[in-house]
Amino acid sequence: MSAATPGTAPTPTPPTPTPVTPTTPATPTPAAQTTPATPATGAAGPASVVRDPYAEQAPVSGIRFLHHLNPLAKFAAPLPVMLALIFTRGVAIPLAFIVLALGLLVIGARLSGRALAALLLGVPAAILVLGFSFGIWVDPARIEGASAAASVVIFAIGDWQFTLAAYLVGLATALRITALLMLSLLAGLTTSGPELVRALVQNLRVPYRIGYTALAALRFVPRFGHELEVIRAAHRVRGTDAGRGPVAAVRRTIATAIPLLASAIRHAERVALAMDARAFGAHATRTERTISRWRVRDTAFVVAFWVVSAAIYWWALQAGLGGVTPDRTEVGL
Amino acid sequence: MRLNVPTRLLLTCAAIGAAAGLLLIPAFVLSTTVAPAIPLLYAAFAGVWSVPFVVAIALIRQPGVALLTSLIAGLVNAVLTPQGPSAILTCLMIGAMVEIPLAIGLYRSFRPWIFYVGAGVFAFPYALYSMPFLGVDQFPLWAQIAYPTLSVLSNLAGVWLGLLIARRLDRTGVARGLQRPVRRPKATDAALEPTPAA
Repeated sequence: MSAATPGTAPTPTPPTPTPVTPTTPATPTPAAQTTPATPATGAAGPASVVRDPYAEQAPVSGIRFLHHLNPLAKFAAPLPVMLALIFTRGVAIPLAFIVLALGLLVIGARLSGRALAALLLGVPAAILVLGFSFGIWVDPARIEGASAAASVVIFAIGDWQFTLAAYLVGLATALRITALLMLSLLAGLTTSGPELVRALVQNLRVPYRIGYTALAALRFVPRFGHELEVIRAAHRVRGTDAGRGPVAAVRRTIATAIPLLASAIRHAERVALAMDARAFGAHATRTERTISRWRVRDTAFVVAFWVVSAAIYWWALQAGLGGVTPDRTEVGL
Repeated sequence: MRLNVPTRLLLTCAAIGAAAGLLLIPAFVLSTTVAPAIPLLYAAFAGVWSVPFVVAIALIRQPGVALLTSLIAGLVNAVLTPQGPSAILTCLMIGAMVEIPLAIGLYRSFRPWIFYVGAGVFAFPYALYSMPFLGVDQFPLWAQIAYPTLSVLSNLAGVWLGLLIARRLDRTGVARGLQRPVRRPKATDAALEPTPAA
């Protein structure tokens, strides 16, 4: 298991991914193979299946402006809002940011039909269902009996009533979670891995050896997935994977973890040796084939996003549509 | 910026992050699909996230390994999941939780109790901080008590699992040459030459 399995194993990792990888064969991106899809955004991956992420990206039309921005700008712009959302109450503010993020994605991102459908139909459906599942858990004693929404009973089982007020509290939680996810999708759906690593190395001055190690690690994932299959098959052949239930599952995971990690570390050693042999990291700086720039439009995008976010918060707090402190849990009905 | 870390150490960290992430996929899927219906499951699965970083630093025993693994794991996650760069921050935060208790001791000791105390100390305030975000502060009292309790317990379980894997991995000898040897200095052998006992 320690040796590379010829034929079935994925292509050997090129030590310095950017300059080596040929552009012609359409290698599937790692994203399409192993993404543990989150329920709301399951269709996010396939948009980039046939593109080679290490090559120059195909030109995107001018209106898809999110693809023309620096990945760091797409991350820095929503970051303050993502932090503020954690402490935000009410329905209005998260809803406003979901609409803002959806609008930016629909206009500015090149999305496949499935991704677009998941965003426009799946997200509202997920919010409504999540609002229900969070609302069930709300303690009726903690809802003010005097408010109008508390008297509207949606349904009742015996003595227990599911009121509109409980649903709105659950909905606020669901909207907060979704808003956080949507804001991180701004960068996530429009940035390829190599672009992000390039921006981190060239603009944020992350040591390039760490960035390129991460790129090499991306190529590890499908390889280790294959290795995991082999180890599981070997255990099955010997009959050492018997048993049902969570305890047996944990025991089985530990039993596969040791050989998998051991072979993973051995593989990493060989790759490191190959990279060292090609003088990876011999110099303090590194030449890049693709230059990642921070342009005026990146600054403009970040500043504009911050101004709009501040305006949304200012307007919502003025109108009393939700607070940033836990004691203002009015939902603005 | 120069980084005086052997390439072998960098790639070993990357391999641990990638392989452990692969093994934990069932746990991640379970926590993202079931947890919205039962918010308490978020707390019950919180400890899973720290397992790769505990494995890395308990196996290699070098300063900064947990943070390095978390940075690389975050970069990998940023590409593989639609969350993008936010995944880097999440991973770095968890890596720091594993790293800080050992850094306080200046990396002289890697005994299990340091990991357990660190996990407990960080898990509790983190649970309290995440409760209002998930709306747990509106839940009945038993749920408000169960949430931080489950969170601390699952973090302790994560450390247990990570240390167990690291110990067995140590026995395979794959990290030999990278590891810092275990030194257990005693007051009585102050005069003797410190001998590395693996």
